[in-house]
Amino acid sequence: MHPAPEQTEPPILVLATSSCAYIAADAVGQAHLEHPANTYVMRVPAPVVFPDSFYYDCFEKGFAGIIVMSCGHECPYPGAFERLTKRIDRVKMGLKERGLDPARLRLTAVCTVCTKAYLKEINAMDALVRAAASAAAVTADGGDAT
Amino acid sequence: MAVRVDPTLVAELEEFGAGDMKACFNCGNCTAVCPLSEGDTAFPRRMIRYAQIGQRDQLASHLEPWLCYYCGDCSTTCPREAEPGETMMSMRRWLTAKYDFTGISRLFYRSWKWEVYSIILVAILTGIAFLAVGFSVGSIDQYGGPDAFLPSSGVHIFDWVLASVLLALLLTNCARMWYFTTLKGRSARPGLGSYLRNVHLLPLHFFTQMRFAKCSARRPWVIHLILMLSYTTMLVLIMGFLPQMWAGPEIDWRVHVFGYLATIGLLFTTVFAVRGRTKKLEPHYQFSHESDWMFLILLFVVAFTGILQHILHRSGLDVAANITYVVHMMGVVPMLALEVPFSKWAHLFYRPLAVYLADVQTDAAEVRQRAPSPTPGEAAAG
Amino acid sequence: MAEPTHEPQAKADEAQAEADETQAKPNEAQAEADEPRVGVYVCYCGGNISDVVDVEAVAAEAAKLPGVVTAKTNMFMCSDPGQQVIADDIAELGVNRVVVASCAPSLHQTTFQGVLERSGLNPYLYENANIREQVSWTHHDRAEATKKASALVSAAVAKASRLEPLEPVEIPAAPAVAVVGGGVAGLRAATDLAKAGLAVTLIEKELTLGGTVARLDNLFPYSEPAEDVLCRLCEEALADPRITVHTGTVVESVEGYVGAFTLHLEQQARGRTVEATPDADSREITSLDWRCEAFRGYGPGEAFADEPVAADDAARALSVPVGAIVAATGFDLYVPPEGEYGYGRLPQVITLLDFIEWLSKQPEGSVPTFNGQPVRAVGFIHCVGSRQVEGVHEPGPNGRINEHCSRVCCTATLHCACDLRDKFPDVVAYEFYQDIRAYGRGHEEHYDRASLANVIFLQYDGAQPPKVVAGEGDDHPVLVSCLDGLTWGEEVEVGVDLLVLAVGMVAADVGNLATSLKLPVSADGFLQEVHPKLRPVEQAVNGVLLAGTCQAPKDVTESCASASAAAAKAYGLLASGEVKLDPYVAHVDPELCEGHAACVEECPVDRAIAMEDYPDGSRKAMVNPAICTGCGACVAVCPTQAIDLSGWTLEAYEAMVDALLLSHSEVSAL
Repeated sequence: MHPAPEQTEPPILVLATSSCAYIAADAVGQAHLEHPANTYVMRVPAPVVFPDSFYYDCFEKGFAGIIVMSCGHECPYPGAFERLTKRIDRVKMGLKERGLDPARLRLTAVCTVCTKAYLKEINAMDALVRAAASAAAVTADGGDAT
Repeated sequence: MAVRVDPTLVAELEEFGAGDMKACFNCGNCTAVCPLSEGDTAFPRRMIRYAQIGQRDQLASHLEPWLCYYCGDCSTTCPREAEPGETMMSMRRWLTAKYDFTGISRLFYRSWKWEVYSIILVAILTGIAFLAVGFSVGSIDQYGGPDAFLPSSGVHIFDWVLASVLLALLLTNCARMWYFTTLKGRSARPGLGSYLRNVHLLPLHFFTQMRFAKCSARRPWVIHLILMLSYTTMLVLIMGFLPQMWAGPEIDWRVHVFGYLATIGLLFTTVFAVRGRTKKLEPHYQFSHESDWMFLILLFVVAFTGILQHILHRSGLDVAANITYVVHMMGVVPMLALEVPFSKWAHLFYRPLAVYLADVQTDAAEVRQRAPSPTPGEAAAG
Repeated sequence: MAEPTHEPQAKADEAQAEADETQAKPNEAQAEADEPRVGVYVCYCGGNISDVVDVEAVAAEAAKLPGVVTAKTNMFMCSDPGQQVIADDIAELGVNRVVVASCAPSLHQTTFQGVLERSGLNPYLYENANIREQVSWTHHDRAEATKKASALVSAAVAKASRLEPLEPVEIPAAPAVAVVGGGVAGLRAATDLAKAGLAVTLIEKELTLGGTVARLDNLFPYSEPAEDVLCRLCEEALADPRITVHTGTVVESVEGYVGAFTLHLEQQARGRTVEATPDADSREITSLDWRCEAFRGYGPGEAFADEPVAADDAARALSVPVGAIVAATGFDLYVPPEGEYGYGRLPQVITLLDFIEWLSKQPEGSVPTFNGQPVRAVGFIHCVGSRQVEGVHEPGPNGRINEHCSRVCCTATLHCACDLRDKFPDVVAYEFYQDIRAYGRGHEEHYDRASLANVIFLQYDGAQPPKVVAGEGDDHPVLVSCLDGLTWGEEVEVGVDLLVLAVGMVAADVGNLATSLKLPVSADGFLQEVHPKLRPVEQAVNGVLLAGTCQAPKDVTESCASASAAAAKAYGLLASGEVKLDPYVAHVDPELCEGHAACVEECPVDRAIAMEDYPDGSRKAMVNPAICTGCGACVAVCPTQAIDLSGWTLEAYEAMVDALLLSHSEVSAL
């Protein structure tokens, strides 16, 4: 399950909270705001449910970027956001240790009507993973040449 | 140094006919739409704020109320219906009273009874005096000639005496206006050059009111111009050519053609304005202070009796002409003696002077800006 | 596709289904125990989806997925014929998991869950693939959109295959509500609840009812006397046999959860408990007079000064079982620190509430006096203790500055200034404000009134508040100045005989009610709702509802509106005698649990998970579904993956990730 990078657009996973960011994603749709199609939204009650390993596995399996769109401080689950923040910080450190750019994992707060913030995050991550993919392709070519 | 709020000025201005200026919430729409407010002259808003917080000195030291010609755009645009145009008008009345050192103006503007009774008194005194003089020097059935009831040479002298007194009064008040708005409390006063460079503007504004033409509606300017030119023409004719207007039996067309035109102009514009004010046809006719009515009525009476006595005389009805002439003078004298220095008429002088002084001040500011400011080195050396 | 010819058949099938219902139910358990048989239904949405997505191709791809027994398309899946297709497949093909690929789940999830329920399937065996909002409306390239739709469908199938039947958590609920706080919001909520037929316990910490409103003279926007409003509410509340009033009573602690809370109360000596009965005529119940009298001007202890102290008058404790709690604990008025605008140093500087009392006591037609001195000019300063600026204002006793706008003070101050000018037209009024926020119906009129009454307005900047000094040798004892924004920032000064500070509303200490239940508070210290629009009067703690100003600054109108909303919510929660909660809570697999208790430690909610002793001597985690909020924090920390979130299992998420990536690489490789 390791798709060759040159064959596909680098896929991005969006973990969107059902009470905030998922509604924003719907609002983006209702406004017909176009954005890159290599983004896959998974609806979650609270992203705090995912252990560290989930993120490592996702990158391992082939996701090029993950955006955790939480409710931020408006999280309906008391205490969940604080725990999530700590976990994401820790996983970012882990990614670094694994030689992955920690910027590929992004934690952000997106409210129900934050369509602009939603698109900004999607586009920024898309630009990041595309740049990384083309850089990797160049390196791979260079490697072949030597 | 903080300025102290004086809450009494609003009520005072209301006595001078101010609109609902309390309703103003200082949004500045009036200033934004005003076609005449430009550069630093942020009226009407600035003047209204000064009035709200009772800054009498600030109000007296500004020329802005005179730069307004009351086209009424501010009043029609005001979201609070605070009538900024009428408030500016009331400020001009307040300033007229402020410039007038005799205090009569203040009395007239705040009490229409004082004004009316004074006019009636002066009219009656004039009537008595002219009848007395007439009967003593001539005959009531003689309009001209050596036995004339009111010989033109005598009236002419009277006119000049009256004019001199009024001119002295007015010039004193104009000097006070100049002092309040240009000299008092100013560290930087305009130089002589600024006055001389702009001196041509004084007659220009006096005769054309060209700033008025900047208003979005042109008609009020045209009407005002006709009235103003008719009045000035008549003034020049009376002061300079009274004997020629009087002489007969041949009509001296060199002066009479102007006299007829001026009379038509005066009658037309006063009737137009009375009708406009009665029916509130234009923004600046919405509110009429007693002084506005007095101005129009006197002017109409004077113009009407003036032409009437002329027609009667030309028709050979000298007795009626003489009586009408006395009535005419009963209008002329209070109009000139009371209205010109102390009431609405005064704007004839104040307004062009204010526009001129504003230009002088602008010129002086430019001069100061162009003047090389001392460099830090020079300043230190100095 | 919906074809008319199918309809007679559908009707017949429906009748058959109804007839078979009794049979279908017993089949349910068996059907669900079987291997997943997934039915996939892809919607055209009348072109909304099919214009961009090749719907037929998506269905064809879906049909190849493991566990899928059928994949169909329809012009409108939500239409009756569309729904019937699903019902038919459940009956005929033995479909036991349903995936509908259509619009956002917020629109039709309940519609399709209804189809499952009517067909005898557990409604939680449904999953949605959102291919309209997330695909056809946001991507325009047909190939790309079709590929993404297929991926989302495959993820939905992966999740659906792993869905288990769930039952809503049902908790027997006491048909009783505690309303904490006897101010205007508490009284409003209590009377609404009682009218709905619930038993209400109204708890007030002061000896009298009425809260802050009891200290007001009349209420904006329509100037009705505060006393009239309160008397009417008190009369209703005290006459209703379903309402028990405890005054002088505080909440000591709270136990339990939605449907079964127990409040432990502490009543101080000389507090009152009033239990009305329909035929009662005792003084305790009908003597509204003392309550109405007690609204204003009395401090605690003075209220019943004329009444003999009962021999048995002593503090006592009581416990009240209720199904829900309405928090109507109100607010505190900001108390300026000594020296803020001269407060506490110059006797002429008072708060708006003091001013209201002062004005109401001044005889009409005279020159008003304060401390024996005539009052000819009054200044009002807006935003005292509200909209504070970091670095300009000192943090209060709670360690924070009040950045929020208190909302009511603008209109209240304008209203007071108008009252002053109406009663004493010769007294000059000045208002120092930042912005006039007269936002409600009938509020702006007070600004109009004030400006026409020649109240003089001066605008200050929040970062440069007005300065107040004693007017030594001046006509007025207090001088106030500010850099007036309306006068181009010039420093403008006024002399006043009375300076009124429009103090804002700050969060009150909710006491043990908040600490016992760990009620979430927002950054400004007020109790926080779950969502300002979607769940505006509910707290994250299930069964706790918010009424009035404990939530945020509100005027009396808004307080009463939110109190009625809270009452309606509480009634909706308890009306059926049991509380049905979403089954999306944590559950423990006792076979996997090794008793590490990591979940208990991680759980942010008190008592949601506890370690239980098992007969075999082991200790395993146990979830209380009534308390668990379903955040899933426990799931991430369990070393043996013994705890999971019902309906949102970690395994399902992992399967979805695999499915998404597989579709992503496969389809794009084509």
